[in-house]
Amino acid sequence: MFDLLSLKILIFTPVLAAIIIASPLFGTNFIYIRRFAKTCGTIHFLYSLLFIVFYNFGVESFYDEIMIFGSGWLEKLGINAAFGLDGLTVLLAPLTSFIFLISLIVSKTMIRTKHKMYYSLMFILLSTVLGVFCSKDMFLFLIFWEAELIPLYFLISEWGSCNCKHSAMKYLLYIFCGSIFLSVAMIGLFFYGYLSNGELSASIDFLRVSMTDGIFPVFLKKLLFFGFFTGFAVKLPIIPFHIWFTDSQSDSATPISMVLSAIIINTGAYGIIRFNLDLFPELFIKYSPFIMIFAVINIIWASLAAFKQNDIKKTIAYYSISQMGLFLLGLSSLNKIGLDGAIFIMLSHSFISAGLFLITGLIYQVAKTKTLQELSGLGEFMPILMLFAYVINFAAVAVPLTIAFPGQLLVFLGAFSSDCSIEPLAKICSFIAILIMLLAASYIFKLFHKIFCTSQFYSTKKYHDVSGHRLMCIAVICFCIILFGCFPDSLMSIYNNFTESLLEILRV
Amino acid sequence: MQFFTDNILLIFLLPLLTAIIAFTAHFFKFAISQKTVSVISTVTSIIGAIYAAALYYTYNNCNEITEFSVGWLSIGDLTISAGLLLDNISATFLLILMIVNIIIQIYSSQYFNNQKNYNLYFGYLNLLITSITALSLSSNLPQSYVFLELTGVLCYILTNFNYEKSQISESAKKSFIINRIGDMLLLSGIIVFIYFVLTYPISNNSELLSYKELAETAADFYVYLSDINFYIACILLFSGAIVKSAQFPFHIWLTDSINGPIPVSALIQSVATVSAGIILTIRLLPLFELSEPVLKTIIYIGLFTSVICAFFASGQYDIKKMLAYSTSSQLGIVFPAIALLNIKNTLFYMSVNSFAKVSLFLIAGILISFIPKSSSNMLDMPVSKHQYPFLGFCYLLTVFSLSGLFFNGFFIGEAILGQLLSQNKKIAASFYFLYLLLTSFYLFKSYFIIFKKNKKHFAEKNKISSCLIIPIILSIVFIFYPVFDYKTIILDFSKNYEIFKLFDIIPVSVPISVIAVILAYFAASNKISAPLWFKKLSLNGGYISNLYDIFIDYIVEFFRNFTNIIDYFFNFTAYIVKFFSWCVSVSQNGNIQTYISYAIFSSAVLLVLYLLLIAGIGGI
Amino acid sequence: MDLLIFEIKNIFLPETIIIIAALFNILLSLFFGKNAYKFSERLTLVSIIISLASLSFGISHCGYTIFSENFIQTNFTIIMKVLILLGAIFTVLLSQNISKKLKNQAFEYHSILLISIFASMCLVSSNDFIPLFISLEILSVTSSLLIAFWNKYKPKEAALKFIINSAVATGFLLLGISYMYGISGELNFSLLNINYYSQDTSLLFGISSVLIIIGLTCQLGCMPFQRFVPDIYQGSPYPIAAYLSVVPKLAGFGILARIIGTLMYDTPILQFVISFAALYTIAYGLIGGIRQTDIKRFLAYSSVSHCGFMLLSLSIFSNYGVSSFIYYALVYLFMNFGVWAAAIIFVNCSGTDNIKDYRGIFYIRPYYTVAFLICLISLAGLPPSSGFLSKLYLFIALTRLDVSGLPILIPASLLTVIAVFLYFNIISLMFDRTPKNNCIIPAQHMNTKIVVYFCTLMILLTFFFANKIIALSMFASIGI
Repeated sequence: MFDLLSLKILIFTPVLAAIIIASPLFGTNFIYIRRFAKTCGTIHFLYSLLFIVFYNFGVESFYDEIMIFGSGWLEKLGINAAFGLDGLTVLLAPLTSFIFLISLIVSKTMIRTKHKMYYSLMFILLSTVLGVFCSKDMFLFLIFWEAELIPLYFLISEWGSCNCKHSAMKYLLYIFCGSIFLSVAMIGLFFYGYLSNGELSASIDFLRVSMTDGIFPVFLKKLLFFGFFTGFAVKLPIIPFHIWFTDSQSDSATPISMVLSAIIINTGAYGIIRFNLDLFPELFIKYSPFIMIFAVINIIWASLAAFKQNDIKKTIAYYSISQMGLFLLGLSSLNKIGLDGAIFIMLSHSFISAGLFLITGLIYQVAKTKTLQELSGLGEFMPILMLFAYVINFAAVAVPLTIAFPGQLLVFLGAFSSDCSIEPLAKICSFIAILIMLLAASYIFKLFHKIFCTSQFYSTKKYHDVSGHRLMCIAVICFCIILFGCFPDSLMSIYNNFTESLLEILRV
Repeated sequence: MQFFTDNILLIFLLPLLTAIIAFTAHFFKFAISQKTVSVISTVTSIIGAIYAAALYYTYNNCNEITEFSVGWLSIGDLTISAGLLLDNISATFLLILMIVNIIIQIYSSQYFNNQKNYNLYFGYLNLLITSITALSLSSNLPQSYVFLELTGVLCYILTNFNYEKSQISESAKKSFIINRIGDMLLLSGIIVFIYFVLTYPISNNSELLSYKELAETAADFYVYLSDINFYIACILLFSGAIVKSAQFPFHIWLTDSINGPIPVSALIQSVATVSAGIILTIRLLPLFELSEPVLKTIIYIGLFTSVICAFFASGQYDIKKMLAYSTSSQLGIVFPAIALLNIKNTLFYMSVNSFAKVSLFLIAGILISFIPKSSSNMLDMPVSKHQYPFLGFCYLLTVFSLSGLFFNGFFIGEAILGQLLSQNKKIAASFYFLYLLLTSFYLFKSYFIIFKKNKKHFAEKNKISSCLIIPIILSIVFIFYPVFDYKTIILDFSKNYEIFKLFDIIPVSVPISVIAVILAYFAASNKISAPLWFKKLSLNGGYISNLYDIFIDYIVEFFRNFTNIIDYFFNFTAYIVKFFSWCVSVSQNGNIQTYISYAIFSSAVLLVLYLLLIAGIGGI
Repeated sequence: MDLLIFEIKNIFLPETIIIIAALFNILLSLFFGKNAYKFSERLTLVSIIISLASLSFGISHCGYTIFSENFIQTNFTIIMKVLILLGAIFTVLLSQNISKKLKNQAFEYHSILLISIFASMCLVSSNDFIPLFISLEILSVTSSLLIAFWNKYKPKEAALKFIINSAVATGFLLLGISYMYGISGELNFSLLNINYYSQDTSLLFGISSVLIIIGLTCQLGCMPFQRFVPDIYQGSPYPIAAYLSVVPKLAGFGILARIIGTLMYDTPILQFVISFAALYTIAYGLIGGIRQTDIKRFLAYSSVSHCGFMLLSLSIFSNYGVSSFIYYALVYLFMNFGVWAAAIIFVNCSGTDNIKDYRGIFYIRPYYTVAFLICLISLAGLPPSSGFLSKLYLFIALTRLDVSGLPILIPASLLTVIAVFLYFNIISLMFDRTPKNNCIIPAQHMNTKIVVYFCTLMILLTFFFANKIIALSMFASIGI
């Protein structure tokens, strides 16, 4: 019964669907294409839910390997296409396919041109992101990491608004520079894995073993650590490298910016956990104060930068950057509470930013403008959307009983009680980080009131309220936000043993 | 009575159910007319009130605690649990809340009768009631934080109810943000205490910071922590209560939240702020009692707020703003009462304050509805005592009870004063006297201005619907309820404070109030008037609110041009690459002799490099 | 006599078939009239395929030297010959349009092409400096003749530049060979290897090896002589430019690999000098390519940068280096021919070389653009294509033996960022919504379309089934 749950199917069926859509079989009748895409999306999401169900019933962790002509994919180079799911990724995979499903459904009205190309690129992107989460081999991770670039480049540049080509190129170059650092660090690690015990292999578990007893010169280990960290810092937009994120968010169409902020950032966060925390525990402990300082800068800087943005999407992009700063804060606190909080924020951030971008998309669809000055008083015409905007804004500001609150509480608590080397730093950082509650509230509600509440003084157009499939999408996201906000333990119990295993690595 | 204690959840679920019905009615446009929704909500509030009264009597005399809780969020090996704690404090709160709830439901059923999202209002109202009930019944600190914030959020939604007018939505936004400051401070306090629980072996049971064992855990805290840490932690917690019940630095949000509909601001100013701030301080009293400086700060903040806000209220002409300031000053008095006296009696005073506020707001609502442009300025209220004798009488009654002249307001004031004098806190006592003077001054001034005898432009006497009158009568009745329920409250009250001791203070406090009344009478007919700057200062609340706006704008402006510095760095690298490509294209000029010279030059470079390396390696 | 027959039959058979075909081509030109180009084309194709098949005879006789040790047959040379012949097939397929225009001159065109292929096969398998020099000269002469075949001014100018460039390069080469002969008195690689491998390499030996490498770089378009490449490719017709960018380069790198393998494989200083030259070429090719508006010059610069990468792989004096070179060369062959074939198709339909005219061709010919896109992505070195894998294997080989490879790895990998920017400029153009020209790609370009789709298919196949190919390249790199 377990071969039903093969990771190969999970990861490569979207590629199959993409090929079918791109093939001349469908012609250019976009209604069929759309329906086919949506059915594939739903099937894929239900299939990924199966993994959580089986994971709960004690199936420890899934493992799957692709064999070509009987031997591993690149046996000679020690790279074999091995996929596996553990505590964290068993949650991330269904979350990814859920967000994709929502963005596919929403793109019914938001994408007007080149449907065939759009849906095939979306499915390719889905499979590459799943590949990043499930790959157990270092170079396989790198391959999927860079394979993400091409579909997303086209998605941003083809359906974006004003200067989307420029921001797509910026996205491509930033992330590719990051992945250059990654590949150099990986090659260094690969070399030392081979040197320490002779056997050529790039699988992460093997490298973790060889790291401990390896004959690494400490200087080189630091170099590799920073290589990995900068690679992931570009993707998880840490402040100096965040420019690609805000530009590509403000210029891409709504479903793509939903996917970009909800999923693509998680790959950066996942990478830091998988490589920096897993493979270099003692260095991570040594540099955790600096990472904490990075986190706090990230939070405060992004929040303050978000104040005077006149583009709604840029403000929300800065919001995601400050949330990822919180994730880093939780990670660098090096205790169980902090790690739980960090992973919870990773999950909650996906829902909230997806919801926020969906709302901006709906507003853009009706009011045809993104700049704040031209928007005002939509509340009269769209009360239902305003109600959902209420819920999502409260979630963004981490009001209790929404999904963001448990994560933020745990992170602040973890940061406060973390015994990092510089004694008072953790406490100061957590107190500064708590400011996010105030700052986030002020700029998000400034946005909310400017869009919905102020009186509609000039336009006489009749805006029709949100309805049909868009209403269903927003309702589903709000339902998840409230459901996981009221019952956070349901999520935390799944990735609980993952954080415990991380702690053993950190302790040893 | 066993029935009530068993399914305590019923009192919690009833308003929730009505809220859901109201929401479905609003969104799915069912055949439920407005009438049925308001009837359902009033009926459920009456049932809730009966339920609360039954609970009140079961728990009034014995302080037996029943409590159950279920795990909600796991922190490491401890868990934050969600539970309900029933003892006499929460029973009295529940009773006050439920009665105010009935009054507000009846009033708003009439106040909103023709507006379009009628059901939505009732949905939000019942949600607010559920969150306040959950707050008053919450069994541990994190849970009360959760419902405290939910109350703040729902108050914000309700004040932002008719969001079309930009002035209303701006003030609602500001009040929400200032509430967030309170939540932030309270959360940091909670985090500090949870950190102490984690590091020091304090309480062994899994429920974090639950109120039942707070006494023992508080003692352990005090033992383990140094004084400063303990003081800071307690002040952080207390600051949450300060912001929620609109004490001095944060009283602005109350004056901003009055722009909401009348029943909403009545509910907020009477029960929501009161229950939020006061419940928290009462529940945490065993913690605050341990250290003397914490109690002292509580007393002084309370008194200072009462005086300042009373001063601001006296300068107001807008009746709703005046009532807002009076709420924060009345609440200011409750804090020293909690610190000094036992909690039971402060609850009795707080009930007086709540019901008086409700009645004043409801009367103000009716008065404002008479003014054509519905501005709430007291000067142009075309009402005189003769036209509406009943309104005048009710207004006078509540003003008497609030200003401490009349029977029930009088008792608590004297008790506080006696306690302060006995502990010879001279300054505190003088603060209290000033407070007494100013409260009676601005209350009676407002009465005289509104209900002057000879109003020049008489409005035609339109009939006030009965639905508006009944809630006012109800609230007046419940103001004097403690007087009727003589035995339980007054006797128990006088037992502690030797009744005769009270009477020697009377010669001091009563004449102050009488002088204030006379002053108010003259100020009303502006025969005497304070210097202009004095009036201006108190009129716009000491310019504190626009202090906030300047502060926020300044920070933001500072960071505005900070963010795009990073952009320049990355553009610079792109520029360098472009410059090199220009160099290459220049060197590619097409004629062979340049190519060959470049080729020979670069092969020479290779050879020299080789020789240098040989020499370098050889030399070493 | 029978030894001669044995040697030709087993080892030298592919070359002989090519030469016979070339001569036969010239003879036939006398009899056939105007539209005989089809026949000459088919004849060359058949002969190349036969010689490709005949290569399999030589597999069993690895390590044999023939014609008194002037030529050698090892696994490495067999693979290089396979690549060269594959390149030749692609060139013949691509030059269908030219041979149609040349009418009866097509025979000469094909025969010169065959001679140049013969020269490059001899160059790869030569085991002595004399045959090396002779085949190098034949190769450069025939290439310039091929460039000059088109009676316009630009090809003539390009051919002249090519001849002068190779003349200067052979100067360096001869200087190096004479020094080498001066020291050892030997010209044969295996004898040199036996006598001089063990002794400490004197200064003169080092200088002569550097000079030889400089002499060879002319064919490779690497550091000293890389400035000629863009002008030559811009001048020459498309198929010839495609041919030049692949076949002579593979032959040059093959012989360079064998020289390095046999004569100078444990001198770290030379290793550093070659990698410096390689890095310079990569940087020159990429940075030069940014401002190009002409597709030919752009592809010339990109081929310069790829040759830089191949030189970098050879600068690792180890088996891993050579095996990564073989894999890179294979992928480079398919990438380059794919891109050049796509360019040919576009030129035939729209007639312009300007990159700006590639705007919006996705909406006219989607499948053609997707193939063009995959080739460009693999040139840029992004994952789903084998371009990425070849670069990854190259970087792994760089650090295989010791960590000294890291300082070279970092600049090389940073330069790939410019490569991505370079190629994605064109890709973003292709998908631009405002199509200026509405050219319809005529159907009769069957041959070039076959080449394009075959190359894209091979790029993807070599990515997914890379294990077998890497195993083969590792096996071949042992007995160089």
